[in-house]
Amino acid sequence: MSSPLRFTFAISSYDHVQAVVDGRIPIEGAEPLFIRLPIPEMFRRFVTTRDWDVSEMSFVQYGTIRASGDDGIVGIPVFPSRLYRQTAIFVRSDRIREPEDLRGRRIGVVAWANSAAVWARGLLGDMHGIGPADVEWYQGGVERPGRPEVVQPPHLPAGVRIHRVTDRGLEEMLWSGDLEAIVVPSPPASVESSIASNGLVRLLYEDFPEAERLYRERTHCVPIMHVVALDRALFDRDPSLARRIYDALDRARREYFADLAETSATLVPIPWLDEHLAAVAADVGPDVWPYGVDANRPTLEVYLRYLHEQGLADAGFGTADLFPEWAELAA
Amino acid sequence: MSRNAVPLTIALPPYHHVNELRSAGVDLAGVDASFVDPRTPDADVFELPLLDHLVAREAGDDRVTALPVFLSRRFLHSWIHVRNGGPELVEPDPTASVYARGILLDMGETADVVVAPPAALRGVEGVRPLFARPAVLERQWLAATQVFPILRVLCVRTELLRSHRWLGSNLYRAFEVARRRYFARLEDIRGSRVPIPSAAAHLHRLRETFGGEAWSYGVEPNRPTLQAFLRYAAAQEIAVHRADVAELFAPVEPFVDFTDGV
Repeated sequence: MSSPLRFTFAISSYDHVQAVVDGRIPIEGAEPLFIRLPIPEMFRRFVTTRDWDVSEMSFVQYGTIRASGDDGIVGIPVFPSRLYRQTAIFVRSDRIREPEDLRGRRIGVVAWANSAAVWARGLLGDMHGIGPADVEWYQGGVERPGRPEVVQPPHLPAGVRIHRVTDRGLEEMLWSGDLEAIVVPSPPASVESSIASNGLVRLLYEDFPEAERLYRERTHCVPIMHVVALDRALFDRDPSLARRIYDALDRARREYFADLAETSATLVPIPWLDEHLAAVAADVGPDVWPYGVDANRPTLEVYLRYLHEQGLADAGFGTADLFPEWAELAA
Repeated sequence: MSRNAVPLTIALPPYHHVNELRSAGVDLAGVDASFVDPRTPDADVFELPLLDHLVAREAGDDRVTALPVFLSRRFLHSWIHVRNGGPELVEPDPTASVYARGILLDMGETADVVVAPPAALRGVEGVRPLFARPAVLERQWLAATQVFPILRVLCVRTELLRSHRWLGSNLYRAFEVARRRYFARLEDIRGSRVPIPSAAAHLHRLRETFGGEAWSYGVEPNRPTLQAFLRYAAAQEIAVHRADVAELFAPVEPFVDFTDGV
């Protein structure tokens, strides 16, 4: 028997992944070293310097990189983080009352190719007809100035204006009135406390449960933020490793849902969760959190449309092009 | 963990709201805890059905002391099924049965019922759910009574509490911190810590429905629930009605979040 393959695997903390990180669910024939760091650093160090062999990463960056023809990163259709980004849009309540008020106004984003920003722009288009060219975009760091774009948008549509901010943070610009809104995956403390106290800066969708429901009803998707991917060098050394990683993560996912169904004790302490999941399933299909390409097709199609509309992939790039190595393994 | 920490075995099902304690993310001060298989006999910390605990107390048995930590609770209208000549069925959770029969008594409902999870009874001949839309009734019942049924209580061997007078409050505090961290993860809008679409939205709605936290520990916030259970147990001639629900639990130091403390 050959010795287990050693590699590094960077992934954040998820209840549907933890059993793999703990080693309770092994990755067959593998001896991974798990690394957890703040998400932005973990993702950037994988994309820019390949500091680890396997990594959770931004799904928008992944799609953008693959659409550019670069196949140095091999994704598997495992999606640990999915969120409706109705809760990532923060506005000055003195200037923005309705989503439509954002037309022609100034919105800050941490990166054009940030997953939260892509899904938020997509929903502004789908729900309110506000396109990428209908807003002035400001890109930069939230608390500290000068966060660089890790991935450059290759095909920006005509009329889209992105102003790069290097001397101030987006948070400061929002409070001083030089932005009407920011779209950020993780709100700074001043924004969090302002939301909690009904201050000047608020969520665009104060009734976000209803906004998420309406979006889900219209698009049938559960937005994907993150994907799991392998460095090409590791993938080429042992292509079947991708399948084994998928199998372990999928087993952990299924165990989570088995815990939900347990009736002897409430392993997952969320009242009326079955009712909530039934309502979600009515919009997105019976499996509300699937891995794999086919089961995620409605979400992947919306995602690819957003990449096209926002200049991150050309129109010829389709679902089959997202995970070509995976399709070959499965064939 | 400090030198001379008290070794404790903890036997619990894999509750997600205890994860932070299990992974040692929450410090159980003064204790060297080992989590053991939930079926392990003679563990130091474990759970009892609320009904069993009440019955033991009625019998004057105080070998075990409960803490006001409630890991298993659920609304039960959906568990109530009517039986029309169907087979004799064993009800899996006697504590749940006491609540369910109490609910029916309060409603003046006298049907012949069997109380069990819907999934366990689906397709059983002659058995059907009593209520067509139980979740609606459960919400109305919560609004009217403030009761969210508690099924099990956390227990410690009493001799340990006698030997270490600080232990009960330290255990309570650690479970409370783990619970808070768990619910903060559910409401995290930065990442999906659980594979539930719109988890934060569901929790937001729960907060509105409950007028605050849905799932609390401690006697005070759970007084209506515990009182209802004692009333139901008395009405069903299982136990005499006690004066104060607090008698069922060890007194514990109320949790204060010293976020900036050292």
